Parts: sequence; structure tokens; C-alpha cells
Amino acid sequence: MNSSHTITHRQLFFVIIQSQIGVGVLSLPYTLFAKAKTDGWISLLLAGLFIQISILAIWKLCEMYPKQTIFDFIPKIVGTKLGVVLNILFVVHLFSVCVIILILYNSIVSKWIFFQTPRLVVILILALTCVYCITCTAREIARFLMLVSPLLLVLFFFVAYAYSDVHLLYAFPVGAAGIKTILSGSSDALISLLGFDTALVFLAYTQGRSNSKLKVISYASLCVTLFYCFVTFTTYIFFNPVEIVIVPEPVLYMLKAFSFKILERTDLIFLSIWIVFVTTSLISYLFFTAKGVQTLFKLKHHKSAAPYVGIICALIASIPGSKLDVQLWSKLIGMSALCCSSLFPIFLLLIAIFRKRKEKGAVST
Amino acid sequence: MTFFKKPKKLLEQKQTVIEKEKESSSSSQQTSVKKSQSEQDANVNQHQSINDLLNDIEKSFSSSEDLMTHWVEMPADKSKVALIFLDSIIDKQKLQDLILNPLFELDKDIDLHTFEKVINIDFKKQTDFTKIQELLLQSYTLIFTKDSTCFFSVFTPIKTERDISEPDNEAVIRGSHEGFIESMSTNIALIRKRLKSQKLVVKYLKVGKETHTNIAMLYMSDIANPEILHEVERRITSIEADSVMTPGNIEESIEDRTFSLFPQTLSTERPDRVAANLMEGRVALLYDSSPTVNLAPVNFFVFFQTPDDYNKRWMLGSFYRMIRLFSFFIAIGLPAFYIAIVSFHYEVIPSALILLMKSSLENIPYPPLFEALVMELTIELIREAAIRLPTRIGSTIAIVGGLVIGDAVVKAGLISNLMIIVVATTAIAAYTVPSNEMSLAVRLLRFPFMVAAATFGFLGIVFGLIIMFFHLCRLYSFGTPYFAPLAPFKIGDLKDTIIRLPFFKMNSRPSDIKPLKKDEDNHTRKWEKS
Amino acid sequence: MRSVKLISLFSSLLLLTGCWDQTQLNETKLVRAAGFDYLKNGKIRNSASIPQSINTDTGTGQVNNQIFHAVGNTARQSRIKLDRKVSEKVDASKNLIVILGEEAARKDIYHILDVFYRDPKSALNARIAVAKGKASDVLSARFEETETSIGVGTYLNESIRSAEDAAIVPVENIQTVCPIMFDPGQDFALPYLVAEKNAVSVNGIAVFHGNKMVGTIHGAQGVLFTLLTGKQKNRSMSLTRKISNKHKDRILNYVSIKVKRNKRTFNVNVSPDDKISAHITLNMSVVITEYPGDNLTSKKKINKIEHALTKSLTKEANNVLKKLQDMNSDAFGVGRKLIAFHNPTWKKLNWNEEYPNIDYTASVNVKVIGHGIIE
Repeated sequence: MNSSHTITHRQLFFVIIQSQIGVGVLSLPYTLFAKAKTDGWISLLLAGLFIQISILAIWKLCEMYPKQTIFDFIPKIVGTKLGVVLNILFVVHLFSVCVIILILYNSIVSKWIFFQTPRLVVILILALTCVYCITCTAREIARFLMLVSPLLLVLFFFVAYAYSDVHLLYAFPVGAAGIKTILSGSSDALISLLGFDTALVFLAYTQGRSNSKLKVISYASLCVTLFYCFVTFTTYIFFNPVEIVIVPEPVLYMLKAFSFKILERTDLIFLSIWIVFVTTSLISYLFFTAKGVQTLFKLKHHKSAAPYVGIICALIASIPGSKLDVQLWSKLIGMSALCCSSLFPIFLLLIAIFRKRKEKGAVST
Repeated sequence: MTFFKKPKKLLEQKQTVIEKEKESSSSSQQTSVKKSQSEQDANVNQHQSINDLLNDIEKSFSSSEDLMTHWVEMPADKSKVALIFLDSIIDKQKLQDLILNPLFELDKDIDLHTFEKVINIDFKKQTDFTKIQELLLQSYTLIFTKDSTCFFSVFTPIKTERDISEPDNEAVIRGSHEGFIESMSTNIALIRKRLKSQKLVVKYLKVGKETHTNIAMLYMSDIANPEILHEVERRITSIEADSVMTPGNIEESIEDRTFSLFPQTLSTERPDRVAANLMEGRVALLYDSSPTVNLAPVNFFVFFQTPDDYNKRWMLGSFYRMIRLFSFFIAIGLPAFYIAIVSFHYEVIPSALILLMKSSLENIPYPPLFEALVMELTIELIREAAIRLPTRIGSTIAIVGGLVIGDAVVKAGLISNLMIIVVATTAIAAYTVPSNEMSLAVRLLRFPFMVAAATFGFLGIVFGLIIMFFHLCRLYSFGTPYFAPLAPFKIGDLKDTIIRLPFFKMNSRPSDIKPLKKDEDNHTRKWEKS
Repeated sequence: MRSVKLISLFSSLLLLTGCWDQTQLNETKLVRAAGFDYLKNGKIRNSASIPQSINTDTGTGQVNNQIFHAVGNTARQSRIKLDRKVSEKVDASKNLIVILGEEAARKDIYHILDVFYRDPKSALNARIAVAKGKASDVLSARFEETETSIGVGTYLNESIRSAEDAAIVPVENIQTVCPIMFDPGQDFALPYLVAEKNAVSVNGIAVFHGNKMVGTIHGAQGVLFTLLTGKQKNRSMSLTRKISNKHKDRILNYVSIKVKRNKRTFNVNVSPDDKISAHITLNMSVVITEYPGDNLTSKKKINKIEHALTKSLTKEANNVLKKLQDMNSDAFGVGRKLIAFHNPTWKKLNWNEEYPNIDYTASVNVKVIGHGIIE
């Protein structure tokens, strides 16, 4: 590992934030509402708590195998042969995450602004932009992700503007949905919070004390959870509970009605900024994927894998056409991503700990 | 050709050629390896007559007709001396004043050898015969006597320099109005005048096998990072070409990415700017016969600073610096934004404005992209024409081009008047960028943005910006990050990039160029405020 | 380097393919005001005002007001038919105002508005109003006020805006009514326009129940209605009230006030036997802007005026509430409070039947805090 590729803690913080905030933010309130009704924001907070466990596992793994990406230490934990299989599975999972990001991005863009532009073109412009962006080191990616982070404030202010016309009473009564539904809603919330798993590769590049790394990732995901919570809560008190069921992208819809003296249709501006966040989360996932492909094919540099990864993702992503197809894909990939990104690291950690114990035991006997 | 010693590298290459030319004894002997040279020289020269030597010199200059030889009879002992010089680059008045007049006043007690010590510092006794050609090319007049162990050189350069004047493209309102000229030594003098420090180091390098362009590398020995110095030197010395004529040649050979639109070294003609940047730890490259000085390594924001900022009150300085950065975005994005709005997202236009805009566009036959391209190209044409023409005609062109074409094109209904406003604003914004190279980069950059906007609306602009910013993030200037205080983010370094804080706040140097001394040792506010 | 080549190759391919979603501004006709009426046979008639600006050399473009009509089974169908009557593509994304004929408003207005909510390009910030009689009458009304320089859309929009500033009508647009339309516990109200001979006047408020219009509130009651919604203050929220009958000169019986601060407390209580009572208290700080009687020097005099105003406004406020209850329109959201804080009670209720019978009162407290620059 080249020492000039390392990233700082501050950069890691923004990398995690930028990977987590992505496609999900526009439709999150809607998906949450479908299960937990107006208490969706509580599910989100719970989900935020759950992912801390996964984060802990990821951090522990990376602490046990410092300066190595997940593809390097899987074979060490489970053995070479099984390791290769798991690596392949994990790369397939990463591919599917990239694909679903592209699919959801396309479905929103084609619904809101590009009605006639061919699917493949809309997807390709994003994919190729990202391919250009990942043909460099982790450090430069981290720099860029940090550079665009102030845009988060812009998003925040746009959403906060909705408070000029909210009905606080819509959020009441709190907790009406019951704990069970709230809990079941948090699995959907988990999917939208995914992105912290990119730490599995970026942690390898981070320098500094191990404890503060954990702090940085936890804070990052806490910030994202709170931001999402703010967005969700705002839409819940802007829209009537009956209305939100028919509005799949409540955040955009909400902004559509706002107009400032110098600019109208703020949703178009919001959408443009949102594209940046989609790009950043795709950049980190594509980088992750390219790193995986590099390890699998024993390439010298992930650069050479990047174009193929990007174009394959784009081609697959342009397959599903109708809204129902998109729903099916996102449900399937969402579930698999949930398993691979948040549960898999925990299992991996358990195996690793078990192995270490055993080794220790073997040595002592 | 190969009579005199060449730089080491060339010497090795030419060795074979030299071997062949051995029949001319003097030339071959003197170009052989240094160690045994001096002894042999002495032997050879003693047997050799002046005439032979002169013939050899003439041959080595391929009988160029401005190589002049004069024989002068010394009044004292009636011995003959030969004066040899390149007629085209020496000052004859000086020749007369410095050599001929004193020569005739010599008497028996004082000969040429003592003369050197008495009269003129430019009058030197030389023993190294390998340097003859070089000295001649550097406007020296050489004097050969019968004594063949040594000769004398007098520096008689012709003054071809212009006066020091303010550079046209970097004028300031307050502050020094001095600018560099085409003489390297004057330029170094101008810098030394501002940095009277023994830590200011000048290092001469030479590139170009035939042009022998002199490059002076200036830096502060206690501030500039040795790694960067080494890198700059390594890149310059590795240039291997027959001719290196312009600073642009060198720039392109040493910058990190030639395929980037953004300039990676800062060119300036202002000594105060160079001095300030030297103090921040940068390296300055001065060239023979070029008023341009290149500074490296640089970051993006250096191109938006002007010396004027530091002579204004700091809030004004900050304000105008922000205006300049803003103008960068205007120059890149305004036409694209306009195109995106009128051909994709006119929902964004406020209600009160929409009918106004629509009525201005109503009868325009061309799509906005075409309109914009035509107008932008027209402006570039006017600019290019105005540069080539003398100033007086230039202004006429500006009036004819700007006013007459602009007005007529709207009246004829070819281009909407809104587009004229947009294009004109963009042009002004592009010229607001203080650095000429950056301004050119900006002007070229807006065309891809316009095309992207016309194809994908806002989305196209956003993707364009993402690619541009990513490019800036991954660009390096001599190993230092180009987009420095923003990516990587250093809040302390923002004080002299986007804004300019008061002088007493600037106590540390920007860290992107990794200066050896971070602390500037500034205590400008040592007095206590009562 | 190879990847760079690949990228540039693909991006240049993209550029060759052209521009799919371009809609040039100069190739569209912008609808600035749209009206909807039901015809006798149940079809919808869509009227649209499409102003065409006439280019002149001086630049101050005159506006040529054109009104188009088309009939269809649904709002969208009538729009498509309208498109065929107009030379260029009709676009409603810069629509300023939607006007519903009274007959249309008395049926379910969501049926008409659905097309606005569904279309990604529609203008959700357009104002919405109800017209007395036909919407097309309002749209094609002659209006003397600078008819040649602004379109009818701008004209209507501006007159409603000034009415909003004066607090005669509540501030609503297509989007803001939407959540309330879906809310079982709250209703809304819209401006009510009347076409006159040479103008269109904002006559009062059209009150809705659910998605249907149920009645109107006129004149000064409109200001009280807006005050009761709890709106903080407005640029010119003014009232003129009669406070005595003593004077012979009619003008001396009146006082004009401007509301500086308006604080609403809204209490909804459920008694143990599920009796619902709601009470609105308004605490107003006002400035006297007109009182020819003068002599506002003494505290007594001011108290007298305050008292008279309090009494008169409380009475009027209760009238407004009574009227709303009679029309069965829960414009201030008593039901919403019940849902939020008395959810079990709410679930038992049939709100539509219960609302007219609840104990619904209001009290207004007026405090004079200023009287202009003379006393």
C-alpha cells in the first residue's frame, strides 16, 4: 500500500457520509410511511442504532487486518478456496448495488425531467462520469467527496424551507403504529442507510489511531441518520398522512410548490444537487467494486477494471423498464444488500474471532 | 563545430565525432577529457601561431560574416594583437572606449597583463581556450597576443534591452509599476532588489542543444522544499531538444499534465509578485530574453490573486477576490445555464420574467446552442483581431465588432437580445480572471459546458461540473495538490485564497507547497492596542 | 490513457444522438390562467388564457390576450383538444392561476386538479380560486386596468395577491390545499371571484367541506376568518368597525384599525362523556388608523374603544364560526386537533355529523397599542 494514497480521518468522515446519502433520500419518507405510517422517522432512528452494530463489526475486522481491504482478508479468515468464492459473491453483491443505484436514479430522472431520453443514455452519462472519477487513488476520491460536502447544507436549507408551510399536528399521535410495525419499518430504513459498508475498503487507506476511526464512522452514520430523520419528519408534517401514500418522491414534490422571487420550481435545482450525491455514492461503490475486481483478476491497478465495471453496470441497469420491474429489482437487491453489507461483516467477525481463539488454544496446548 | 567544451552530457555523445576530427590537432586536444587537458593545452598552444588559432575559430563559426578580426599594432612595442568579436552583438562604442583607446595609451611599463589589474573589471585574462566560442557568443571581445598561453576578454555587450515598464496585462492601480524585461540579469536584479536576503539562491540551468537557453531558478533556500526544488530541476535538466525557444516550451515539458486545460505554472511579468511567491516557498524560473517568469508549484487560487489585493483594505481585497472567483463560474457556466433554461427548464424562470424572455426569443430562428456558439465565436474573433492590430485600430475593431454587430444582429432578428446580454457578461467575466492562461482556459471550457447543457439541461451542467471539479482534485502541480486549500481542505490556508485576511493574520505560509518554515515570523502587531 | 479514450469515445457518441427532451421556450404557448367548468352533459370545458406578447422596437412588449376554449370528458382530454386549436405546443408549467366555476367547485374539485398533481411539469404554486358563475366568464372578462400590458392571468393573480395582503382571503395555492383536501379533520377555503362589468373583484371566500365547496363568506367577515386561522400579521390587515350609534354623523360612529399582532390560542376539549368543545381566543394588538372623533388622550377613552371593539369583534367571530358550522366546514381544523390529541375519541366519531353540533366559540381581546401620529 502506497503511503501517498492514505486519507485522513476528516476525509473518511465525509466519504462515509457521501456514500450513505444517495438515491434513497428522495423516496425514503414514502417507503418508510408504507410500513410505519407517521412513525417512520422513529424506525429510521432505530435503524441508525442497528447499523452501529455493523459498523462496530466492520471496524473490528479492519482493526484485526490493518491496511487490508475486505478482499484481502476474507481468504485469510475463511481459507483460500472458500475465500475466493466469498470474494466473488461479494463482488457480485457490489455490482448489484451499483446497478440498483443506477436503476433508481434513472427511474427518478426519467419521471421528473427526462421523459423521452433513452434509458441507456441517462444511465451511461452517470456511469461514465463515475468511471472517470474512479480512475485515481482513494485519496483523490476522498478529496472530491469532501469538496462537494457543503452541498449537503444546500439540501438542508431547501428542505428546511418547507417549514414555512407545515402542519405540525400531522405527526401526532406519536407511536400510534405500534412497536412491531415501527421495527419492521426499520428494515426498509436500513437499506437506505447502506453505504457505511464502503468503510470496508476505505478504512484500509485511513491513517491514524484505530479508536478514532471507529468514532469517525459512527459520527458519520449518526449525521446521516439525523439528516434523513429531519427530511422524513419534514415531509410527514408537510403532507397529509393520506396524501403521502400517493407521492413516491415526497421531497421533490414538496419543493415543486415552492418558488422564490428569483427562481421557481426549486425541485429542479434540488434534483440537480441530488444528482451530485447519487454520483458520490456511486463513485464510492464503483471504486469498491473495481478494487474487488482487481483482487479477483489480480490486476496491477483497479484503473484497468473501472471502465468494464462501469459499462457492465450501466448495461444491466438499463434492462428493467416498467415501474413494477424496478420495484422488483430494488426489493431483491435491497434484501441481498442488507444481508451482505450489514450482516455479512458481523458473521465474518464472529468467524475471525472464533479462529483466533482456536489458534490461541492450539498454541497453548 | 566541436571546438569548445560542451555540457557533460553532450560531450559524451559527441565523443565519437570528436575522435574523427583528430587531424585538426588543436581542436581534438582541447575537447578531450578535462583532466589531462591543461598540460596538453600548454604544449600545443606554444607551437601554434595566432593565425592558426584564428582560422580554427573562424571555421568553428562556419565563416559567419559577423565574426570580425582586427589586427592592431601596439604603439609601445610594435607587436601585433588580434581583436576578435561577433560584430552583431557587441557595442562598437564600448570597443573603442574600453579597448582601443586604453591600448594606445599603454607604454612600456604597463602591458596587457598589468592592465587588467588597473583599469577595468570587465577586462580579464583567460587561459581556458575551450571557452573561446562561448565567450564570443556572450558578446565578449577577445584579445590575442603573441603569447599563446593566455588571452584577454572584454565584456562589450550591445544594449538591446528596452526600459523597465509596467506589464500591460498585469497592470495595478496601487503598488509597484515595474515589470520584467527581456534581460535575465536585469530581471534577477529586480527580484534581488525586493528580497535583499542571502537566502535567495540563483541557480543557472541550460537547455536546448543549439539555442542554449539560459534558465535561472530562483528560490529561498530556507523556505522552499528541497523535494520540490529537486523535482523542478530534474524536470528541466531532462529536457533534451535542439531548440527551446519560448517559456511555453519549457512549461509544457515540465508540467504534470499537458492534457489539462488548467495552467500548472503561473506566468507573471511582475517582480513584486515573484518576490511574494518566493517568500511563500515557490520556485521562480527566469528565462533569457523573455519577460515572463514562471512560478511553480501553484494552486488554482493563485491565478485569482493580484498584487493589488494586498494594497487595498483587506475587506475590499477579499471582496474583489471573491468577485474574481465568482466570475470564473459565470464565465464557465452562464451561457450553459441560459441554454439549459430556455431549452429545457423554463419552469425555473420567475413568472414575472417569463413573458419578457419569451417575447425576446419569440422570432429567433436558431436553437439557443447555435445562437450562443455564433456569438461566442464572434467575440473570440473580435478579441483575436484586436490583439493582432495596433492599439488604435484595435479599439475601432472593438467598437465595430461589439456595438455594430451586436446591435445589427439583434435588429435583424438572428440572435435574441438576451443572448447578447449573456454572451457579453460572460466575456467580461472571463477577462476578470487576472491570469491570462486561466482566462484562456475558462474561455475554452465553456464550450463543452454549452454543449452539455444543450444535450442534457441542468443534468449536463451538473455532470460537467462534477468532471471538472474531479479533474481539479486529481491534478497536481509538481507533486502538490492543485486545488489545494479546498481539496484537501485546510481551513487555515483559506485566509489568502478565497478571501484575504489582514496582514497581521497571515502568520503562516500556505501548507500545500510544503515550505520548510511554516511560520512567517510576522509580528506586525507587536504594539498593544490601547 | 486507454480508459480516457474509451470515455471520450462514448461521450462523443452521446452527443451525436441528439437532444430528446428539449422544449424550446420560443416554440411553446404558455398558459397563464386556466379555468374549468362543468357543462350540462357532465363534460369539462377548459378555458385557457394564452397571452402573446407583441414585439416592438422599444422593447416594451404589448400583450395580446387570447382565450381558448375546449371541451372534453376529463381535464386532460380538454387540454389535449385545446392543444389542437393552438399553433404551438401548449404548456401549463408557468400557469399562474386556476379558476374553478362555482358549479365545478361544488362537485369534487380533486377530479379536476388531479392532472395538476400528476404532471411533473405543472405549476403547483399557481393560485386557485372559485368564480361566481362560470370560470370562463371571469377569464374573458374585460378589465380596464392596463389590459394591453399584462395578461388576464397576471391581472387575476395580482388582484388575489393584494387581497391576500389585506387578509381578505386566505393564502392558498394548488399544493397547499392538497394535504388539507386529504385531511379528514380539516377543510380549506379559497378566494371567491366575481366578474363585473369592467373588472373582476375578489368578493369573499369560498368555503369547502372535503373536496366540495359549500358556501361563501363575504366582506369583513373574510378578515375575521383569516384572523381566526391564526395568521400572524399582514402588511395591511385592516378592519373598520362600528362602535357606537350615538353620533348623528355616520362617519363618527366608526373606527378603523390595523392589526399589528394577532395571537391565537385554540383549545379543543373532550369532556368525559365525549362532549366536544372548541374555543378560539384571539389576542389582538391594534393601531387605530382612523377615528375622526379624536381625543384619544385619556386611558378611559381608549379603554372604551377597546371594549367596544372587543365586543363587536367577538360577536362577529362567533358569527363566522356559526356560519362555518352551518356549512359543515371545519376550516380551522378542530378535527385535526382531535386526531392528534384525542385519538380514541376521534376513532369513535362520525365527524361529519358531529361537527355542526359541537360547542364552538370564540372570544377576541383587542388592545390598542398605537394611534398614528396624532392623538
